[in-house]
Amino acid sequence: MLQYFLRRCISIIPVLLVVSILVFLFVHLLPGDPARIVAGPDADEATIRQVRIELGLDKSFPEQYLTYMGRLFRGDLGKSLRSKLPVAQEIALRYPPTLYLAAASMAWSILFGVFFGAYAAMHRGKWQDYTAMVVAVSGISMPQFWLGLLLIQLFAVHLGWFPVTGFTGKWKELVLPSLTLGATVAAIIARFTLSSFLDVLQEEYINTARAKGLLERVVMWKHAFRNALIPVVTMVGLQFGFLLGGSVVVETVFAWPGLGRYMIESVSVRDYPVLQALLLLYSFQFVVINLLVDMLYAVINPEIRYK
Amino acid sequence: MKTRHWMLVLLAILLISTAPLFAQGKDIIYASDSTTNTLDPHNTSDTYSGAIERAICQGLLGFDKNLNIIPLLAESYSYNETATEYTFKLRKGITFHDGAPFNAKAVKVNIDRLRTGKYVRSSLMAPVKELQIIDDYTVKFILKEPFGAFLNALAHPGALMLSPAALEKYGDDVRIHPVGTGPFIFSEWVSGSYVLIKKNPNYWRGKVKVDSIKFVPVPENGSRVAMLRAGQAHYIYPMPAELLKLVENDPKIEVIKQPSIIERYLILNTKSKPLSDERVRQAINYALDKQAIINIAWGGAATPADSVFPSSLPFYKKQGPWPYDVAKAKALMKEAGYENGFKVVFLTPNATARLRATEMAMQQLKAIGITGEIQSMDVASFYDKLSKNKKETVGETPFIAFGGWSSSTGDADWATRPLLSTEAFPPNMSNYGFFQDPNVDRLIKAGLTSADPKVRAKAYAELQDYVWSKAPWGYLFVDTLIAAKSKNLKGIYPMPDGAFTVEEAELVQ
Repeated sequence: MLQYFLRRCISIIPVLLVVSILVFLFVHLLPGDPARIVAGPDADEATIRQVRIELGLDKSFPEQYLTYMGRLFRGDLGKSLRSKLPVAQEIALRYPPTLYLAAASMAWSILFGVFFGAYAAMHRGKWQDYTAMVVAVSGISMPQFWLGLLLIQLFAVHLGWFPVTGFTGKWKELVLPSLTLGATVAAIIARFTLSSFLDVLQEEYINTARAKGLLERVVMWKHAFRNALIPVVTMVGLQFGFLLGGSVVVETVFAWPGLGRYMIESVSVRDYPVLQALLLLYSFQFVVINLLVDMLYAVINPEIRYK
Repeated sequence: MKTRHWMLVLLAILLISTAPLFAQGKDIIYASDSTTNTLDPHNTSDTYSGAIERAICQGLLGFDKNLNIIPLLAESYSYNETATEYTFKLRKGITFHDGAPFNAKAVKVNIDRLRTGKYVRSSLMAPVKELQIIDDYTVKFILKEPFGAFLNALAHPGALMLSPAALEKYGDDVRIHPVGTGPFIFSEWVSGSYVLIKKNPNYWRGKVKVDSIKFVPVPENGSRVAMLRAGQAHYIYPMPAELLKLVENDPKIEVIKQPSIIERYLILNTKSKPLSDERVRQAINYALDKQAIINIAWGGAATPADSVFPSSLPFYKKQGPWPYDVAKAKALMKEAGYENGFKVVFLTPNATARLRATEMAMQQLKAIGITGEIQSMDVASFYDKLSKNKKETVGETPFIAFGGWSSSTGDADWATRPLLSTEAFPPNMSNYGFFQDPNVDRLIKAGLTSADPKVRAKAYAELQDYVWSKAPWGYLFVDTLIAAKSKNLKGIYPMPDGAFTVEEAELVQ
């Protein structure tokens, strides 16, 4: 088990190396000249040339790549072209808000998603099932910006219970954005739980359990639930990976000082170092989460441990 | 005796009950769609950051609400007839927020910093040959050649004065530690969240009436309006035109509309056939229903263009608007030999309003046979594409692109030279349609080489008369800026260039 874990950890390094090359290429191949953007819409060529030199963009492509990799190995992510502040510092500032938002949304959605999914499965074909799934499908189909603005209108403008936007570290500020972000994920999880449950309920060991005369409650929770959970855990892990990237829509609607908004701002001004750092961070998060998900399988299903 | 006792009690009750009103902090929240990029004025290229810097720092000259030049840290100024020497008498007794004195040396430190050529706004001081310190409170700029718009360069946010002590202490990190002489002192900048400035208790122009202003970036239109309605922002900009109905009936909210210096137009590739034909370009102008585009694509927040540059700029002379007359447009097309129309490529940034405006223009031009594909892209790719066109080859592809311009110096020169002169061909400046006319070059030069307002007015009047009929662009409209604020906030105004002024901000009950 430990050996497996260590082997997986080491395998992260080559993955990230390949990713870093791809990220560099991808970012630099975007059309648009950062020097022109930094210099402003009305700059003359002399100013743009000067800015290009200041930003180190006058150097050849391979030269820029080597500088970037050299810095990366020393743990230096470079400076933002736009604000000239160290990228690591900027990301450190925006990481916690995104993390809190992701965690809060995930908590909501697991709670609601798994409950609704399991509930619907147990009442297959009855009104409870239909109601739960109508709610879930609505959750998936509702555009986040629309739901966000609706919640703002009701709970912030009319009732005044929560602040409209921003995040300064208070829990009240987390409620509306995490509900908005969680709605979609909860719905996805609910759908997933339902189908996974239904699959499991057709397995022979469930029939066996029932035939043994076990209580339906025991069959459901002891035999079906744990097994049904495995694909759900994969799904949850994947969704959490996405949430950790910061939701562009929710962070924009709620003026959330997180990574999603930072990403979109940086794309529009072609802030190469920031984009590279963020994409690298996203990949790293995904790899780590995948690893954790695999470890979780082993916890849920002992059989996986021995393979 | 007894009555007096009662009156005292009453007075006490009154005082206690109103106490919260007096104790209430006068802290203002300004929500905007923009994000602060830097607070180093010499290295700022965006209007929003520049406007915040203006609350902290001041220049020798500045603009009033209507974009007229006013002396600020300079008490008075004079210049010679040929616009090559400008002398400034500085105001005495002013100190920067860190206690450093403002004097001729401080001016020199700032101008020298700009003149190193390393900063985005270095170009403002490019005409300067030498800066002389005449005495402690007099400086003289000697220019390389006549430059009639030099006063505007000094009123530009790029020429704001930073404390020499702060420049020494922080170097280029002054971008996160700006120190000036303005009404507000920089307090805190949490990247991505807000910029906070606090009142300068020793402001030289008088008492500052609010305690602090917090600038918050809120990119989503609906959320910004919700903040204002929920009382969590005092001022929002821009106020989205499509949501005006929502706030117009709110008794606590006031909408401010301000004509801007932002002009929108269709860039016509004048090097390519058939757009090289003046009659075709005039036909395009007749075929455009400006008002319809304003109403539908721009939410009504604009007025049809009536000259080459907007009326809020100096030396403006009214020409139009260009009448909407499809019959006349068709006649001109026929005269030019394009009765059956022709094909072009339409280019536009993909921001909703601009895309919509371009699509509407396309539809209107179809009526005179001009058809083509639309290529929309994000704004960085758009300008990248336009600036990569070469004089020699651009003639091969006739294109019509959605353009816009704001003269950041607030001067007529910067509204014409970068767009219409031969020297402004890409990549040098922004003459993306490669419009070339010796008469235009001559008039632009005439306006630039004199500091005498009369001479300049004459040159720019002639220039506008001439360029208007030459139709290098499909003239569209001038933006109207819309802001909204809570009624108890006074003294914050949007400026015609899209910036704002907060010096006179005040919260009334």
